[in-house]
Amino acid sequence: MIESLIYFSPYLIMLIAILILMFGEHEEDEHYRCFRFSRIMLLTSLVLAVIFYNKPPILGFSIGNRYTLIFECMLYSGSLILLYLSRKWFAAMHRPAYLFCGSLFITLLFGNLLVASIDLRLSSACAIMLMFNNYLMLRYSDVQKESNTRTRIYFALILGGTFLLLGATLYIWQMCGMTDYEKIRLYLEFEKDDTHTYITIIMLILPFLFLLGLAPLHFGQTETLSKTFLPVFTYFMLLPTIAVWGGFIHLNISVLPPIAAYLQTFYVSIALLSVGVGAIGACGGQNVYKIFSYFAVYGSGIILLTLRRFTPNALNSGFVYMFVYLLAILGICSCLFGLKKKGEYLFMLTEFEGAAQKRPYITAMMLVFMFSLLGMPPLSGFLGLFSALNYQALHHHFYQLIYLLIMMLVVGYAFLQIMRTLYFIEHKTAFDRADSGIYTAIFLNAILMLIIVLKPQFLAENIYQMLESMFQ
Amino acid sequence: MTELLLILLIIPLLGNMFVLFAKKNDTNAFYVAIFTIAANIAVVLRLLPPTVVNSAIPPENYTYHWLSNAGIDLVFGADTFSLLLLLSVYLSLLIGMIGLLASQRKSKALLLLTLYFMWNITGFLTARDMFSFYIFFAGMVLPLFMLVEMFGSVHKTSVLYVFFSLGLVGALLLLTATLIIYRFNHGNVELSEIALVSIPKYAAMVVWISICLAFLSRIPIWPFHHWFAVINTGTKNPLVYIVVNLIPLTGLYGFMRFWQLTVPESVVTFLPIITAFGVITMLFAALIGISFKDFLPKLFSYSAVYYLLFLLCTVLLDAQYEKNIAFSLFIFLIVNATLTVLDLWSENACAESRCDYRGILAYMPRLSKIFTFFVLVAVGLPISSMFWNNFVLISALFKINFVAGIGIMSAITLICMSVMYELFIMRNLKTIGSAVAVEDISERQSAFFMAIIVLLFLSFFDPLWFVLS
Amino acid sequence: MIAYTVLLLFIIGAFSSIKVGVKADKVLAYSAFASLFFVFIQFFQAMQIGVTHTFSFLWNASQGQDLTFEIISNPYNYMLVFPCFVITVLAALHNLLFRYEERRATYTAVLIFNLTSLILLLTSNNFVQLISALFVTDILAMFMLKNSDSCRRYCMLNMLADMVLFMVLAIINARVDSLEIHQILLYQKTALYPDFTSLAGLTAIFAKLGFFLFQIGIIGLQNVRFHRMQNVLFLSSPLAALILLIKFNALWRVSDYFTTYLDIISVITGIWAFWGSIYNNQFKAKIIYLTLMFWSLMVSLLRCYGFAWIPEFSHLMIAMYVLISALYLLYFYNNRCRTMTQLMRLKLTHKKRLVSTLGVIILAIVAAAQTLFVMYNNVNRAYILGFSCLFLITVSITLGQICFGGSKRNIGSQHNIRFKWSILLELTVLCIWLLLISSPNPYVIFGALSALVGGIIVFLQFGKISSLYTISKLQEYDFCGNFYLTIVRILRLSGRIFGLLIDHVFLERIVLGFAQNISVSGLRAFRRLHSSPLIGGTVVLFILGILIWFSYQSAGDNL
Repeated sequence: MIESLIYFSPYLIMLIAILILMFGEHEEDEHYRCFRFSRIMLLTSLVLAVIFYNKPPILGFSIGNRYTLIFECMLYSGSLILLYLSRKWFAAMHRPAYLFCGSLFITLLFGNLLVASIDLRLSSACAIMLMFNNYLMLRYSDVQKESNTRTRIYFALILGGTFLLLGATLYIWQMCGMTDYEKIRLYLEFEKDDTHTYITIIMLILPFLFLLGLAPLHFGQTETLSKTFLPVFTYFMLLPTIAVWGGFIHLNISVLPPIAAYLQTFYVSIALLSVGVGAIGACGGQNVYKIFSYFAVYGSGIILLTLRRFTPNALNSGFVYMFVYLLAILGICSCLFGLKKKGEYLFMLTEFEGAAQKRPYITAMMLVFMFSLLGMPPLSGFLGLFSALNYQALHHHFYQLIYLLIMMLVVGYAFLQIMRTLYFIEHKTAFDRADSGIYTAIFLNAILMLIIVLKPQFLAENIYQMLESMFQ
Repeated sequence: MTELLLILLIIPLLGNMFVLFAKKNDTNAFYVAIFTIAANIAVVLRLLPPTVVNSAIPPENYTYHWLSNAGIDLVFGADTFSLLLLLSVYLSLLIGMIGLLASQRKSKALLLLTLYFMWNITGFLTARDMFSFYIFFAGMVLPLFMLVEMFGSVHKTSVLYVFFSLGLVGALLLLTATLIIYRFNHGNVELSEIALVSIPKYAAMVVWISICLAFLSRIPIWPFHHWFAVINTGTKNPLVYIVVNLIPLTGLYGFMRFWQLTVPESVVTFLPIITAFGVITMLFAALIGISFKDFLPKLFSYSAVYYLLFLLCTVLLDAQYEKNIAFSLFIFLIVNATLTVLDLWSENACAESRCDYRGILAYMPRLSKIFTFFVLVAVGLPISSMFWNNFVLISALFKINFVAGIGIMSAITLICMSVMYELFIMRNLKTIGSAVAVEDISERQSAFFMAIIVLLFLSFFDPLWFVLS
Repeated sequence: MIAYTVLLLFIIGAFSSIKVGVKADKVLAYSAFASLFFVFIQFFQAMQIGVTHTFSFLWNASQGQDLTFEIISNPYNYMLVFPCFVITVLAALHNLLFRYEERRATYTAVLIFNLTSLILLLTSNNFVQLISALFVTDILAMFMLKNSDSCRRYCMLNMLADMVLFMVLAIINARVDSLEIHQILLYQKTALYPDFTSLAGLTAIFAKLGFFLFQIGIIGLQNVRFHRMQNVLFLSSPLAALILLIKFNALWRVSDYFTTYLDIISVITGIWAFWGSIYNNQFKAKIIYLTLMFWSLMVSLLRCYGFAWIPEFSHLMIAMYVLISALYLLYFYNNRCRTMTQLMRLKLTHKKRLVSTLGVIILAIVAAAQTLFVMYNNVNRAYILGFSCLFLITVSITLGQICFGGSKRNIGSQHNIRFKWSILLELTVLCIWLLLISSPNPYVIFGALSALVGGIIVFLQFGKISSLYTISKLQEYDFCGNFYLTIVRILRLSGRIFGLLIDHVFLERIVLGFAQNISVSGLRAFRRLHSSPLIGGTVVLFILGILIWFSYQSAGDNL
C-alpha cells in the first residue's frame, strides 16, 4: 500500500495542487505566490515522476516505462515553460491565476494518466476529464463573453465526445467483460470483422481525434481558440496535444492492431483531410491564433499520416515530427509572448505590422521557428518533415507524398503573409518592452533546435530506443 | 585540407554571430562582413592549388556523421569547378558590399542575411551528397526572400508571392527527388554515385523530372524568367541585386552536378524541349533587353541570356567542357556584379546631382573607365578568359546543334549590342545637357576595381593565374 | 624579327601611355616617335634581309586543341606589315607636328598599340589569336576616336561584324576541330551550310569595311576630328577587314556565290561612294567616301590577284594615305571649314603652302595612278580602270572646287587663272608620263585621256556639280541611317510586344490572375463553411459518415 502510494506520489502532489488551487481561498493579487506554488509542486512532481518512471502509478490500471517517461517529461516541461511565460501577464493584467494553474495541473494529471493507462475505463475517464478541462480553460479565457456561441458549440461537442467514449467503453466492457487493454485486444482479434465492433472503435477514437483537433472535427478548436488569450492558446497548442497523442498512440499500439486494416484507411483519410483543411485554413486568416490553430490541424494530420500503421518505424518518424513541431510551436508562442501592447497580447495580424523594426530579435526568431515549422532546412523542422515524408516514400505512398508537398506550399503562403506583416509593412504599433525571461525562453529553445540540427541522433536514435519499449 | 572545408563553412556562421551582436547604426557589422568574405576568399585560395595540380585525383571529402542509423552522412568536398564558383561568388558579394552606400552599410539585417546566404551557397557548392545538397539548396530560400522583400523595393505583392513560391516549389521538388533516391538507396547517396542507385523506370522519371524542374525554377528560363526580371529591375540595392543574380547559378550548378552524372534515356528525350525553350528564352530576353531604356534592365537581360547559354552548355555538352564553363562563369559573375554596382553608383550620382542618367559617365572619368572596361569584358571582347572559353563553348554547341547555335549567337549578339549601346549613351556628353557637378568614385574604390580589372585581364592569358601551384 | 618588333612596340606603347604633365608629354611624344622610327628602321632592314623566324608559345589548352600564340616572320608577312608600319609612322609624325591632341604621347601610344595588334592579326596562324587581335583593334579604334557619340554607329557595326565573324570561326572550329587557319582547306571539303558560313563572314567583312549598306558606321566618323577619322579609316577596322579577306580567302571560296557577291557589293560600293563624294557638301564626308572608293578598289584588285598581297598594294595604300593627309592640309589651311560651300567661298591664303600641298597631292596621285595602271596591266580588268578613273575624277572635282570653285574673295582673277593653268600643266605632264611608262594598252590610253579630260573639265569651272550642295533634301537624307533605325525600332517594338503579351498579359494577367481567383474563391467557400455552425456541422457529419463507410468498405475488400 505504501509502495503504491509512493509510486502514485507525483500524481498525488498534482491532486493536492489542484485541490488547493481550485478550491482554496485566494486573493485576487496572489499571482506570484500562485505561480511559485505551482512551480514548486510541478518540479517536485516531475522529480518523483522521473525517479519512479518505471513503476505503475495505479497498479493494474497503468504502466510505467520509458515511453511514458518521455511523454511525462514533455508534459512537465511544457507546463513549466507555460507557467514561466505566463506569470508576468497575469500580474500585469491583475487576472486571477489559480484557475489557470489548476487547469494546468488537471491536464498534467489526467494527461499523464492517459499516457500510462492500460485500462479503457481509465483512459476514457482521462480523455473526458481533459475535454472538460479544455472547456474550462476556454470559459476561463473568454472573459468578455465574446465567443459565447462558439464555447457552447464546443461544449456540445464535448458532450457528444463524452457520450461516444462512454458508449464505446460500456459496449466493450459488456461484450468483453473486461476493460484491460490486453483483453480488449484479444477480443478484437476474434471480432475484428464485426461491423458493430468497427463502429464501437470508431466511437472510441473520435473523441481522441476531436481532442487532437483533426479535421473534420477541428471546428470547435480552431474557431474557438481565436478568441482566447495567449497563455490559454499556448496551453492548447502544447499540453492537450502531447497528452492525447501519448494516450492515443498507446491505445493504438496496445489495443487496436487487430482492426488496423480498417482503421488505417480511416486514419489516412482523416490525416489527408486535416492536412488540406489545416493548410487552406491557415491561409485566409487574419487572426494569428487562428492561423496557428489551423497549422496545428495540418501538423496533427501529418503526424497521423505518419503514425497510421503504428509500427516502431512509424512511431519513430511520427514522434520526431511531433517533437520538432512542438518545439517550433513553443518557440512561436514564446515570440508572441514577447510582442505586447499596453500589457495585452496581440492576436490580429494587422497589429503585428512592422514588428521587425521594433523587436528585431524576437521577430527574427519567430521567422526561424515558422520556417522550422514549414520544414525548411537547415532548421530542425526539416528533420521532422524528413521523417514524416521519408516514411511515405519508404512505403511507396508517393501520391500522398506529393499531396503533402503541395499542402506545404499552401502553408508556406500562409506564413508568407505573417512574414510580410512582420517585416515589410511600416510599423504602427508601439510594442511593450519584452522582459528578459522571454528572451531566455526563446534563446533556450533556439539552442535546443540547434542541438537537434547538429546532433539529431539523440532524437532519432536514443529516443527511438526509448519509444520502442512500448512494443516490448 | 578537409578541415579547411569545415572552416569555409564555419566562417560565415561566425561572421553572422558577430554581425548579430554588433552595435546598431554602426559600420562595425559591415567591416565584419567584409572580413568574413575576405577570410573565405583566403581559404578558397588556399584550397585551390591542390585541386588544380591534382585535377585527375578526386579531392578529399569531409564527412559529417549526421544521422548514422538512417544512413545519412553529410559529405563536403571541393574540386576546381566548385572552388572557382565559390571564389566568384565571394568576389561578387565583396563587390556588392563595396557598392553599398554609407547608409546601407549600417543595416545589420542586410549584412546578416547576406552572410547567411553566403553560408548556404558555400554549403551548396561544396555539398557532395544528396542530402546536404538539398539542405543548402532549400536553405537559400529564406535569406533570399527576406533580402528581396526588405531591401528590394519590389512593390508588387503578387510578384513576391510567386517568387517565394518558386523558391519553395524548387526546394520541394528536389526534396521529392531526394526522398525517392534515399528510398531506393536505403540511405544517403553521394552525388558521384547516383548513377549506381538502381531506381525503377517510372520512379527514375519522377526523380529526374523533379530535379530538372527544381533547378529550372532557379534559372531565368520561360516562364520563370518574368519573376526574376521583375525582382531584378525593382532592386536598387547592389548587394541584393547581386544575391538575386546568384540564384540562377544554383540551378545551373545543380544541372552541372546531376546532368553529367547520369540522365536516364527517358529524360534525355526532353532535351530538345529544354534546348528549344532555352534558345527561345534567350532570344526573347535579348529582345526585351533591347526594348529597355536603362542599363540595369539590360544587364538583367544580359545575365539571363548568359545563364541560359551556360545551361545549354551544361545539358548539351560533355563533362570535358566543365572547366570552360567554370572559367567563363567565373568572369561572368564578377563582371555582372561590378556592372551592377557601377551602374547603381552612377544612378545614385544622378539622383544626387539631379541630372539625367544618360551621359553621366562623361562627368565621372574614373567610373567611366572602369565601366567601359567591364562592359567590354561583358560583351566578350578578348580582355578576359571569358572570350576564349565562350569561343570553345559556342563552337562545341555548333557541333551539337547548328540551328540552336545560330539562335544562341543571335541572342548573344543582340544583347551584347544592346549593352554596348547603353554604354555609349551613358558616355555621351551631349545627352546630359548643361554641365553638372557630379562626384566621381573615390580613389580607394577605383583602386579596388582596378585590382579586379587586373584579375580579369590576366585571366586572358591564364584563367588560373592567381593560383600559386 | 616581327616578334621582336612587337615586343619593342609594346614597350614603347606602354612607355608612351604613361600619364605625365603637359611639358613632359611633349618630350615623351618625341621620344616615342623617335623610338618608333628606330624600330621601323630596324624592321625595314630585317625586311630587306628577309629574316625568317617563328616565335610561339602554348597559350591555352582545351579539349585537345592546343592554342598556340604565334608570330611568324617571313617575307610575305613583312610585306603585309610594311604599309601598316609606314602609315603608323606617318600618323605619329602628323600627331607630333600638327598638335592635334592635348596629350600627344598618349595618342601615339594608341597608334603604336594599334600597330601591334595589326601585326598580331597579320601574323596569326589560328582563329583565336586572329579574332583577339581583331577585337583589340576595334577596342583601340574607340580610343582613337574618343568622341563616343560620333563613333557609336561605327563601333556598333564593327561589333556586329565581329560577332558574326566570331560565330563563323566557331562554326569552322566545330567542323574541323582545329583552330589553325590553314585547316579551312579541310572545311572546304566538309563544310556545314557553306553558303551561310561564307556569305555571313563576307558580310561581316563588308560591314567592317563600311561597304554598301554598312557605310553608316564610317560615315558617322565625319563628326570626329580629321586626323582621328583618317587614322581609323586607314589603320583600323577597314584595314583589319582587308587582312581578314586575305587570310580567309579559302573560306569564302566554299560558297559558289562568293565572287558574285563580292563583285556586286564592291561595284555598288564604288558607285555609291563616287556619288557620295560628288554630292556631299561635308568635306570630311567627301574624304570618307573617297576612302570608301579606295577600299572597294582595293578589294576588287585583291580579288583579281587571287587575294595575294603584292608590294603594289602597299604602295597604293601609302599613296592614298598621303593624298588624304594632303587634302587635310588644304582643309587645315582653310580654317577647317566643314562644308564645301564654305571652302569654296573662302579666300585662299598661304599660297606657298597651298602650292606645295597641291604638289604633294599630285605626287600622291601620280604614285597611286602609276601603281594602279601597273596593276591593271597585270590583270587587265576593265572595271578596275573605270574605278581608277572615277577615283581620279572625284579627287579632281574636290580639288577643283576647293581651289577654284565659287566666288573667291581677295584673290585677283589674273593670279587665279595663272594658278589654275599651272595645275593643269602639272596634270597634263602626269597623264603623258603615265602614257609613257605604261605599255601601249588602249584601256590605259583611254583611262589616262579620260582622267585628263575630266581634270580639264573640272578645272575649267565645272560649276554645275557644286549646285548639288544646295539641295537640302539630298544633303539631309540618310538612307542607311533610316534603314538601321527601322531595324532597331522593329527589334525594340517586338521586344516590347513580346514582353507585354507573354509576360504581362499571359503570365501575370491570365495565369496568375486565374490562380489568384481560384484561391480567393476557395478560401471564401472555406470561410463560409466555417462561419456557419449549421452548415459546418452538417458537412462534418456528412464527411465523417463517408469516411467511416469508405474506410470500412475499402478495408473489407482486403479481408
